[in-house]
Amino acid sequence: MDDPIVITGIGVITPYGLGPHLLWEKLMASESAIYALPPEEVSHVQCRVGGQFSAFEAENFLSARVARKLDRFSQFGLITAQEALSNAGLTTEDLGHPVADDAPNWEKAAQGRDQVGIMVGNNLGGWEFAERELRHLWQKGPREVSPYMATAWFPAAIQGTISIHLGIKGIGRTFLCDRASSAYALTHAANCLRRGYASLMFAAGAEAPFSPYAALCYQTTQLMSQHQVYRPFDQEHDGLVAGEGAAFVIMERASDAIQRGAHIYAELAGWATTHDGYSFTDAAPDGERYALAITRAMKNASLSPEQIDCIFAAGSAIPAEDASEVCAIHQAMGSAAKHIPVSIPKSAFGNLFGAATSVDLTIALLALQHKVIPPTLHLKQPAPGSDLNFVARVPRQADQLDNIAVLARGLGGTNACLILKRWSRSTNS
Amino acid sequence: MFTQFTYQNVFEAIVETITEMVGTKSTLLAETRLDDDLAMDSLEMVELGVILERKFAMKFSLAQIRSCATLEDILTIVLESKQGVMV
Repeated sequence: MDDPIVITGIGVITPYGLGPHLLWEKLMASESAIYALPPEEVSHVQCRVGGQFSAFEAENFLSARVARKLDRFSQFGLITAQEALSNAGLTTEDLGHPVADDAPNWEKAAQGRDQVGIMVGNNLGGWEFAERELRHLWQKGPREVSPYMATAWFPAAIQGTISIHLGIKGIGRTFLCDRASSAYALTHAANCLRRGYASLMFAAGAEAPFSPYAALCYQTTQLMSQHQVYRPFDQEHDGLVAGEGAAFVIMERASDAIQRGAHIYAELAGWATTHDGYSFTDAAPDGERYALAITRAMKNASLSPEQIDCIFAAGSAIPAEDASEVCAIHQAMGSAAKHIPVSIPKSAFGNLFGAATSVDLTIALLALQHKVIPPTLHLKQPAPGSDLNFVARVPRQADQLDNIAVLARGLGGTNACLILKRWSRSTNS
Repeated sequence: MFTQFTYQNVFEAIVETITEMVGTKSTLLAETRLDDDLAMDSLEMVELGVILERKFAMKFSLAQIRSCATLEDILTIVLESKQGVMV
């Protein structure tokens, strides 16, 4: 039997602010974090609201020397990675191990840190930084462009930044698949642990989508709500509202976590990904491939649909995607589909694109801990055909909440499902 | 506008610039090493060059600034380029 993969640390920034406690408190109060955005960022697009961490000052968390070299998404990522490490009861010193005097030089240099890896999901990269420096280039000339532009703008910047600052020397990847990016990062991290490529993985998503250029791209792809309300599966759904932030988790094999006496949040018991192969922008209406991802993840977790206690749906609020997701859940869950509670907590604070799934996963860990399902805000009357057991507007206490399926779907039908299982030492010993 | 290109004035201006850039609380000396002592990387050296260009109204080539190992090396370049205006 495989050594279970468990989550032992979390770090999260959402539009509410820093930390899991604040996030949970706001979700339980059914409080929205979506507000009007500064006009200079959105006057050229139709969706002018978003989930922005407006009080964020990077220098409150990072030294000025570090902060000025990074785009906002990398700042979010570095801060949450540090938080996750600390939450897991570890320090950067713990990521290495003593090396024998006669060990090869490369091993001495790595000090065992090659057993620590990092997987990141992101979508946009550092466009806030890039837009500012492009303005400098065009208005003042090349010498006024920050030299840090070279390392700040691209999506993998966060992976490099965190690796350097925390001394991570093992496997690293950055995934770009729209709103499923961090789902792919999480599944790849789990695979690395299962296949023995690493002993400890940082896995996450980070996104800072509020730059004028990024907003324009999202409008062009017709993802954004014209009515400026994020209401997945509601009869008035018309697209999503963006949010910013990041969530990192620390993943390791259960035997390692137990040996070091770590607190285990939950087991990542199953995961699977599929692609629709249907269109650049549209998800396949039949939801068949999406359902296959859910079915495979349940099989990997050795769970039947009747054993899934809750689903966190991707819930883009794009009418065709919502309809396709309902189809997929019905196909995968069969007769259980109408009974399993379904929620989309991100409707309260926005869709974090490349960080959407890692934030959903973090909320799912908190839901397991509290035995409460956070609500789907703004869902008043489900759209025709959306016949699922939605947890709408207020949290729902759950007597039985042991297994949660977290779903993800990116542009053009990039599908993923992750299944969290309550950790119980007695059943896993 | 920086006008008094004496050794002491230029040295103090360089110290002030680097202290603010790297956020160090250590006392900087002429022999302080930019890489080993202050962990300045190549991009920070470029940033330093641009700031000093503005401060001293002179041109630093990339090769010049990257050849500097210590504060003294920077000081020498500045003073040599300003020899005609030294007081």
